[in-house]
Amino acid sequence: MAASRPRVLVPLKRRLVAALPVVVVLAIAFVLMYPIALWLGLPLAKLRMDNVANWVTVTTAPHALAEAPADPTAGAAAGASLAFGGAPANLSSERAVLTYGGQPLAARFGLEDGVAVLRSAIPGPLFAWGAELTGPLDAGHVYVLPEGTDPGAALYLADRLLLPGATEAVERPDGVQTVFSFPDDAGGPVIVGHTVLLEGDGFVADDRLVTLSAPAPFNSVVRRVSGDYAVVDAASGTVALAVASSAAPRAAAASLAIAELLVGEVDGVNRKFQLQHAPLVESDAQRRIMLDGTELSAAAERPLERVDGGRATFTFAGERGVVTINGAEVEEGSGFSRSGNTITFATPPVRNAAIRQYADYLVSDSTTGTITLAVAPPAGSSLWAPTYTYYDHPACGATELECFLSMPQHPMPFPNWIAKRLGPFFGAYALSDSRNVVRATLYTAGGTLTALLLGGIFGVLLAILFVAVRPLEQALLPWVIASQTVPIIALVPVLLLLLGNVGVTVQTSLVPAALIGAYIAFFPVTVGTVTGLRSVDPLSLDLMKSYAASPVQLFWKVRFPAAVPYLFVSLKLGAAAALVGALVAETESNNRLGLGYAIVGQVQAGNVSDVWILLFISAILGIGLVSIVGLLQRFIAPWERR
Amino acid sequence: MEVDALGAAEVTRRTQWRPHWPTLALLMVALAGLAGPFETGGQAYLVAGGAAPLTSGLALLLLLGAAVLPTVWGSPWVVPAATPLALVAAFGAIYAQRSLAGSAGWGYWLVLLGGLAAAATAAGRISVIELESDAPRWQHRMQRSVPAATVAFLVLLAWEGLVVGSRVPKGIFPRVSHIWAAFLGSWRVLLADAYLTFVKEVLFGFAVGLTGGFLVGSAIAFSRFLQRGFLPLATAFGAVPIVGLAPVLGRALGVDWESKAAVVVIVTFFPVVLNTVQGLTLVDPLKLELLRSYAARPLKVFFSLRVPNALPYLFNALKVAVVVGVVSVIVAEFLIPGPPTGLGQRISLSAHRGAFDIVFAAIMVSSLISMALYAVIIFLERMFTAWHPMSRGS
Repeated sequence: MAASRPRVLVPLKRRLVAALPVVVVLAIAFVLMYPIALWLGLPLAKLRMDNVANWVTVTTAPHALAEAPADPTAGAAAGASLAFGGAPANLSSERAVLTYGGQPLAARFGLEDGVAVLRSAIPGPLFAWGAELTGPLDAGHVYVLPEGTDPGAALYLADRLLLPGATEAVERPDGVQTVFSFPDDAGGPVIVGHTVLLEGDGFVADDRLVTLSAPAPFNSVVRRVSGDYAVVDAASGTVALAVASSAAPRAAAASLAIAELLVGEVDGVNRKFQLQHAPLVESDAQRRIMLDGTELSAAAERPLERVDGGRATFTFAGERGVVTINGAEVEEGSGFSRSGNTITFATPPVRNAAIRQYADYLVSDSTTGTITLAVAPPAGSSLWAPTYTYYDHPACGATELECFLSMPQHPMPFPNWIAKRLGPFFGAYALSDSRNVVRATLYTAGGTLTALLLGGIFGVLLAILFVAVRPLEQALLPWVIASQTVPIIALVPVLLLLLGNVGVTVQTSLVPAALIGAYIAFFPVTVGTVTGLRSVDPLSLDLMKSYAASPVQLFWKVRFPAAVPYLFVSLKLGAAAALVGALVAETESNNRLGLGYAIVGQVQAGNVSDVWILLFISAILGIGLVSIVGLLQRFIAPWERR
Repeated sequence: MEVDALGAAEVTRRTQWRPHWPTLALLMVALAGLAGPFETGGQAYLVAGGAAPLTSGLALLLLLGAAVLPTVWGSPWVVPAATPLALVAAFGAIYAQRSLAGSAGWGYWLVLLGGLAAAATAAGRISVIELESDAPRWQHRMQRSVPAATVAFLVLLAWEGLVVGSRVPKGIFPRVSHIWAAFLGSWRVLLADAYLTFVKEVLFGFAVGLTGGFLVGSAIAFSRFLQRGFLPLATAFGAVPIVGLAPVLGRALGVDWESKAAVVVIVTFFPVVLNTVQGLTLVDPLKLELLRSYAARPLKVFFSLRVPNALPYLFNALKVAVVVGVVSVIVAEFLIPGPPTGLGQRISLSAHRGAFDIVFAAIMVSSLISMALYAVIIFLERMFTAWHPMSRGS
């Protein structure tokens, strides 16, 4: 019967079959890393998402007419439908009010999808043109508002309303980074600080990733125009258009607009109202709340007197307002009584409490957007808010998964990310540089082998001593065991102190790693060698006795060879232990040449993928050292295979 | 000793009256030290001016002289009586040295080292006794415990004596008395730290690692394929050093006790899995065949044969895990700086401050508790595996 396949392939096939389970388990472990990474990272992503400080802020503005009317002075008849640019689809007519020139109009209308259908006529004018912008300052993107123009004025380009919008980059510029990503689809020029960069010249765009030609300065704001235009610098009035235009846009001095009403009963009694969007940005310089045509001020005044804990009567400049102690509103009547501009509290406020009187209104809860007014607005009046800023959505992404993927550092990265880091990590430094990872690994390996040598010699000597002098074993073995319960990392500072006093430069020497590694490694060697030295067949001992062998001969010819296999097994255990000890010592002693320092350095820098790579390297180093001991065993004691 | 009463009695009497030369010589050395100065450049301690040196010198002389007497007898049961006397003499020398200025003189070193060495050899004498099997239990206990206990006292006295004699300043290296004072002063804090570290972190992590390891081990034991795949890799997974793993876990789980408990879970997991797999699979084939002849279902075989077989292996793993786990949790507390509670944090903070006496006091508490945990595991092992041949006999 002829062989069906060459004989040399059969052992190869057998090896492959034998290796298959290992490969499968490795693959399972690899695949398991993904759910574990998600399990560990998603809660952190959720925390990041829920933190309002990370959200994108939006400032509302009254929504002006989408098309500038041909005849601004004409009014609009009942039944006319007017389109307003930028109005959200869910804004209903009960919550909106038509305004012109800062005054609400008493017009009834129906609002659907940004289009208002008038139910009563509105007398003109509906629109007033303002000044034309000067520019373009460059190829057609940058224009400047003339002096004196309200920076919040609506801009029209060829009678069409331009909507402002700019999104901030997800990453904070650190002075070195040139790649930024923008969460929303933005497609215009990039604004770095107050400088406008154009595509192709100042940056290169690739979907949501933008690569600047020069790094953004540290702590500057990187934005991208996402609407029709964005305000580059409110002080100088510079705006950048998304699409270049040779014709200059024109500002509107006034326009019929839809503004948001505050939510709440306007019946002359209710003083609590809510803004339609929440949570509010606490310190919002742009917030304006209007009652009919007058703007309400958010100013607060302090009392004239000091709050010393005993005084209950305070004097203010104004004669009305909402009174708060440490931010909490105090009810008039039950909490305090007022006579003119003097108020008397029911109980004296605690020492150094913050007492304020808000003349017009106060933001009582910025999370829900609740406003408390000093005086209840009379029935029939309109309480509306032209502008205010609120937190709209998380900057990192819409879902937890998106936020997870956009996190700068993950507690456990996906394996493919770690694999991507392999190349740059190993190639970061040349082989001759002392910071090279391979050199650090070899240095630590040297330290571990020295520790193993020291620990091995000491362990073997101790074991010989224990076997030779029985009383020593009885006396010392419990303490040797107890010595292993001492947490070795706690002794490292003590050891470094002692070595420093003796004159050893601990930052560049192998001595701490060798000593600590030897401390941990000697114990398994001792225990194993004692067992081995005692495991001699009693018949052999009797035989040697009958040959009148001296104790030394007995030791070398019988006991020691019997102990060798045990010795090597414990040396393998000791090798792993010595590596742990050497790494611990290197971590605490700040030895820049070793692997422990690299691990600590990457941990502190926050490069989790690099830490994982270093962990794999240490694991491979440990296995390698154990294999070296195995190889040594093959040479010295080839007859035993354990 | 009944046979040949006269000859045997003579032999016994002769051996009884041979002095124990090592102890005797060392005690003589110690006595000679009393003739020397305890301070460099000073007079011999016994004649040094002042009442205190005179009385303490005489007391030392009495102690050492009394220690000589048992050694002259030579009997293995009598010589060890010199041990406590020599130890107290060494303690007295240290006590006397503490009040002296200047550097220690050769007289002090002779008394200290001679006394300690004499105590060592005297205590060692008790180990050569060949106890008969019907000897009372206290004799066995004495033989086992006296040498080990003496070593403890020797180490403590040698430490104190060396540090006092070399006049090491308190901040550089603490003395045993300083460590004891630090322990007395801060034992409440140390115990609270130990509660956090051992009860919350170690025990919780231990329990989770044990259950998880047992379940995974059982799962692997059911499949030969998984066994062949997992066992070679277990050494690899277990070789990942705690030094790197701890900060990663700290980042993942926060800086509180959960991350440190996770370290204990991982350290416990791999030995438990390895030993569970071995214990569940390395069953005597004869027993398996017996159960097969009883038509036992695999689940019945599992619970009535494999699991009890695995218990000794499991306890083996637990013994390793408890010691390594305690050390790892302290390492984790070093590397995951969090709230300043927990023994590892205490050690780290005190070491940075330079308060090494608290460091050693905390190390002592940690060692004692981990030895106590180890003893608990041994007790549980005896309870659960008393039927195993390993526990029977000596």
